[in-house]
Amino acid sequence: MLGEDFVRVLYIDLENRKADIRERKDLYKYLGGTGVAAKLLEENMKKGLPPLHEEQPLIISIGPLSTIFPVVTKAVATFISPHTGEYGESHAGGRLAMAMRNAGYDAIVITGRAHKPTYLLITDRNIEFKDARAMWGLDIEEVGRVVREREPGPGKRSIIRIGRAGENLVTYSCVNVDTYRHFGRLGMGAVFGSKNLKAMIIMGERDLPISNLKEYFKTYQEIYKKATQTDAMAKYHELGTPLNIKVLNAINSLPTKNLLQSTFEHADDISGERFAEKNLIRKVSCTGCPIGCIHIGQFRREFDKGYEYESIAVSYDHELVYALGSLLGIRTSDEVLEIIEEVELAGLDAMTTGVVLAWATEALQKGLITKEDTLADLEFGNTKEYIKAIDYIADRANEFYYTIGNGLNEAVKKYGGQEFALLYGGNEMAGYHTGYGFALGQTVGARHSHLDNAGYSYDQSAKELKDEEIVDYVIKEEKERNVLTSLCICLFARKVYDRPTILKALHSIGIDWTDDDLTRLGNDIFFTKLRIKKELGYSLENYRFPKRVFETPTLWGRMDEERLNRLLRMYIDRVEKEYEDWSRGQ
Amino acid sequence: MRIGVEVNDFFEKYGGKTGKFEMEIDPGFNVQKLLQKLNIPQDRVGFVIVNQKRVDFDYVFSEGDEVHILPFAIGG
Ligand code: SF4
Repeated sequence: MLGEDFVRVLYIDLENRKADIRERKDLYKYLGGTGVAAKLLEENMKKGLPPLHEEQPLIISIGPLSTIFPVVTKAVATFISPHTGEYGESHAGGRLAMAMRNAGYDAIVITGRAHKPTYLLITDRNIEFKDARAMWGLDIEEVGRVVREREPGPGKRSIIRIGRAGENLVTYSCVNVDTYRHFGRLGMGAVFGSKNLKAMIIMGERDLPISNLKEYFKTYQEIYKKATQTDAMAKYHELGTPLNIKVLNAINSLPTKNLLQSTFEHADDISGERFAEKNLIRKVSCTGCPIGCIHIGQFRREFDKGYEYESIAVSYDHELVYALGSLLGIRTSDEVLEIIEEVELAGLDAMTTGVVLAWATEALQKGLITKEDTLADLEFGNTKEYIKAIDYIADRANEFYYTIGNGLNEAVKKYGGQEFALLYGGNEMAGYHTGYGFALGQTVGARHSHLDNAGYSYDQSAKELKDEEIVDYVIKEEKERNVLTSLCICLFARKVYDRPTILKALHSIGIDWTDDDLTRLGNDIFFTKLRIKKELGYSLENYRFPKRVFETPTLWGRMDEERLNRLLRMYIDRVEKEYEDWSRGQ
Repeated sequence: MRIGVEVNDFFEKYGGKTGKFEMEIDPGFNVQKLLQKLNIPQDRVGFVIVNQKRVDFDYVFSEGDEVHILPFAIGG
């Protein structure tokens, strides 16, 4: 809590419609974000119960710098992932961090299951449990509209909600945050669904007690300048992350058609440059960010005969263009946007949906499944059929869609095709087939996100691949990113927030930490997450990589399976040893 | 001698030429000199690909080389 030495936690019990606030001094040493959220998950999780059991908790946390410094915009959620069955963590921007800050809560812990569909109104003055029966079944856009009409606070509130996929407990359903941002990947939407929770509206008007305004303002200005007047962040604003499409394509790293290829003959037609020319209409920002990296693209759709058109705007970025573009063989930027829209409305994670559909396309081609299963003629490049399939996933239309609604791990158990199921550590692949750093990084990352440790970055900048160095990189980078995300700094601003800048910012609001404190924090969070994973039965022993990732060239040529297995072994041995030392010291 | 050059749009902000074009160069001309000529700061370059292969800044061009200059891909 700003100006205090405790973390102010709001506990909400949906079952008994009760709320409670506790001031937790003991959590202060974790700062906030991923540190506090991991700790609160550990305290509240029920390890013997399934991920979607009503007693399992859902946590959202912000940090001490949230929204009072530039680009410190993220809220971090933790939960037990219904997708992987282990540690779940997801980050989202938008207005949520600001709204939590104004409402006066550093963290929110939600447990229980509401007796009927419910939405929560959380303000600095009260918590209301409201009837959401009429909203059940609505898509992301509709539920947003209904809430906006019914509830007060435009401009100040954050509205987070789920679509049909979350209600139907699809394990990779997401929670939409203020339309253009998401808690994606590991199934937080299903956690909402399992709690009968359709939406949350958060807002407040609390003052921000900054004691040394002069120092704070000076530090703020310095950081603001660094973010806006150097080119530390410019690329995120310009073409944004879709700048990657042409680059990855040129270096054999753009996963295409279920990674049968790592270059795409239509890459130029779905490149960041093409989106900018044809579709880009504006760029928007999370609240408190001067960068504006959220690219909004528009496409035109005929909704009726007689030249009846509507124009539709959705946000796009590299991961979406990869997963719902090249990976599915989609040839135009308009069609990519059309598919993105469907995924958005249903409330699915874009990356996993794309990877699942790419697998299903190949499984259908190979005869592992039939048209009776898929109900749609899935083939690379066929936008219309993919759009149908997305709805079938969200609605769990039949047994096949029920199964793939639990992700590829479940799908291959039933239908086979493990060798071409693009999974790393149980989570569907992100859009960088760059080599060993990426492959190891996503596999071992605490939340199996490429952003846990940026292995793709190692692959690109290394002059020569050295095994020790790769393992060292992913461990160090993950610990460092734990520092950034415990402060809820957008990872795009990692070059702006180097250690001295972080310490200065903390100091300006009265938190006198040292460089060693930050190192200790990164380490503690790293191993706290590992401890949670172990408690939940997670292990990478006997892990098998899918064959496909070795068949298709990367930036470094074809990866060698033995070498990647060796890297994984080295990683496990080193982390286990460090973990023992850390546990002893606790 | 002539080489084919493709410069990613990312480098537009440094004022040099981007897109695809041909260039007349002297023998001994290497990647470093090309970057200087195109006004591209070396530390902003992720990849220089010549005839589909990644090369270093000291690579010396041969007649007919096709060179592609790109930034690093970024996390997203
Ligand atoms: S850089 Fe983009 S994602 Fe990060 S805070 Fe700014 S607008 Fe949000």
